[in-house]
Amino acid sequence: MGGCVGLKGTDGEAYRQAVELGAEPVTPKRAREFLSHITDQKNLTIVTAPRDMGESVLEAFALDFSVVGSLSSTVTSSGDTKKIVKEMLNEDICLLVFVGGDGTARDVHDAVALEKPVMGVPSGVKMFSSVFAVSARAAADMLYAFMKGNAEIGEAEVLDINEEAFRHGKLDIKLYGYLKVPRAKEFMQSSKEPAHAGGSCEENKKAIARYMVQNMTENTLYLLGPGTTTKAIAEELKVRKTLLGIDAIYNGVLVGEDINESGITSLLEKYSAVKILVSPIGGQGFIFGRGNQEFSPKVLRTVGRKNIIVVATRDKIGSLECLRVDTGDAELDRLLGGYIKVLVDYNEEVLLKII
Amino acid sequence: MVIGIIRLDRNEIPYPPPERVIEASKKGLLDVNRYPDPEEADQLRRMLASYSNVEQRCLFLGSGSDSLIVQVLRLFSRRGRVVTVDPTLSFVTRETGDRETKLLKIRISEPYCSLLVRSFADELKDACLIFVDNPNNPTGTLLLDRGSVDELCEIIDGVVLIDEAYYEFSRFTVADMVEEHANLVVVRTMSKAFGLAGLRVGYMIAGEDIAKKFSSQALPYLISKPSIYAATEALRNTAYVMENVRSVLDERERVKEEASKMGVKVYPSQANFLLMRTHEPSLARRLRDYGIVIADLSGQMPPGFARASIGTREENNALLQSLKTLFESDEDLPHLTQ
Repeated sequence: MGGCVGLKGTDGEAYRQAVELGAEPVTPKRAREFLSHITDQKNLTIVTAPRDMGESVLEAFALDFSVVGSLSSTVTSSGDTKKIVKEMLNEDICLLVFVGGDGTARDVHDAVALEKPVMGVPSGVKMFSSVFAVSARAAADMLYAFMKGNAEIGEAEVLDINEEAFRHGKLDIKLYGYLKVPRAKEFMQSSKEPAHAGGSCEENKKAIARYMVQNMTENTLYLLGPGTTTKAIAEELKVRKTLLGIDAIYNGVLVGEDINESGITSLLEKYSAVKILVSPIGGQGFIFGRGNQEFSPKVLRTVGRKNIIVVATRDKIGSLECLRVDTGDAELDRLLGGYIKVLVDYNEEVLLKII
Repeated sequence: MVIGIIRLDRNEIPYPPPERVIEASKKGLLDVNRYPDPEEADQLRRMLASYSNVEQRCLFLGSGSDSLIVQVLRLFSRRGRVVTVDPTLSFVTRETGDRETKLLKIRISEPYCSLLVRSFADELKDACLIFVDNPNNPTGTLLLDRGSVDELCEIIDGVVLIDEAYYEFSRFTVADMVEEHANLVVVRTMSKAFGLAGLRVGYMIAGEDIAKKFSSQALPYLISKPSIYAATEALRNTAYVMENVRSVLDERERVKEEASKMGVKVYPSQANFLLMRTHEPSLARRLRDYGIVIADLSGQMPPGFARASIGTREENNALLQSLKTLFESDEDLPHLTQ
């Protein structure tokens, strides 16, 4: 709700400021827009949160629903979101729909993790995460696609944006976690269409992992960045992987877990042959500077561009215009620019530009 | 309210072939207990060679151009490296999908104007096969000019395979260049401008190296009798084809102009379809509510892209009206991509 009063988000103290500056909550309006497109409730059972967190909005619609949980105060907090979501999970829901921005996405992530599919109806100021539908209408379309079995489930990034920095014009983004989100399957596509072939997102990741592992060079240190695709590679190697952190593997053995920049630097002193393996952030395409700042300019300069391997599923790469870097070192960003190969399947690469 | 379905998703021409072509096809059914006569197939080859202004010896028939593309891929891409563009036809990916063949796709980005061969020389030189659809599907753009094809054929020892399915709309061809380049192959089809999609008639114009290998592997009876008869008759008088092409081109420019006025970003096309982009990521799905089927490109291109074939004037009007209604009624779409 802080957007119209220029607060760039309403986490913490900013919420009180937003109200004082006269900001109107946008979330109920977006929730109403979403619900206005739910015109057929056949096979749809709706479970919602009490009062302003859902119940009050739903009362205006001719939809059947039940309410779970209770709220202790009229002013709701992120704790309430997490608590109600957990109670909803006990109701055996198939899909969790939330209305909000990145802050709400993080709260939902804390409660759900990868347990159930989640869909965000956009209404916040900051929506850098990839878990949101493009609009309330698109979210309603996706709900019906999901119900009809016309959606497949993939993982999308939840990002943590430093609001204080954002208010001062600086984009400081960290990868917070992943949520399972529904994605529409292509429909009525004939075999001649310019579609991507292949199976599900999970099969795609496994194929990438198989190819990577079969082609790993001996006596080389591999630094695996965050993400579910790099995690699949670690799983293929049967080693642990920190989903949001950087791990180091040498000849199939884990030699560094959730390491920071100084941890990486120490390893670089020890090993002469090093490769960095990263996956871009969905929707944005950043391969460095967002969610993996441990790969600092110093680390990247030491490892060198030719030793950077980019992996991504077909879906993710298909929806990107380009790859991006923002290391905080303009000269390095320029050196990293140009075309790079992205491994998108077993034996298959896409040549994509880094800008 | 959906009354009927208008299919604008398969890049077919909306007009049926003339009666004489349909009658010829029916005639082919009269003795289908017999295999097609090789002489009749040869006559079709002669006529296609004449239509394409190439020697008959370098022209081969296939059951649609897809089957020829697949055959060339299978013959020349084993255990090597295939290079193509992204996006392109999905079966190219599938057909090179064995464990030994590497596939590299070069992403073509806006403004989708060309494939700069020289920029990718290092990636191209050791390829066993390069496939480019020219004009490209789904962008509608001619990615290669004659100079680029020259460069490609010289850079690589492997095969340069060009799909000219939309030749009659683009009027651009490199078929004559097979005389200079033994490693060049051009595939074309009678499924688009000739309106014979259901009969599956494709042909390939091949340089010497490919022609030699292909001749030794060619199967007899690739095309059915009704298809040979209809295709031969269609080639006897191509004036109706050119007239239909003109209508499609006029309609294409009208649809482009009208849709652009609504705020849809419509890309220049050299084919019988238009690539569109809006801020609505589910455009194809939303148009289904109005009975219009266009190609959904989600997951293959950045959000908001869709491709619409050019239909009859009435079909195109239905598409434009549906777009108008959709945009006017939707508060979620206040501003579309400009």
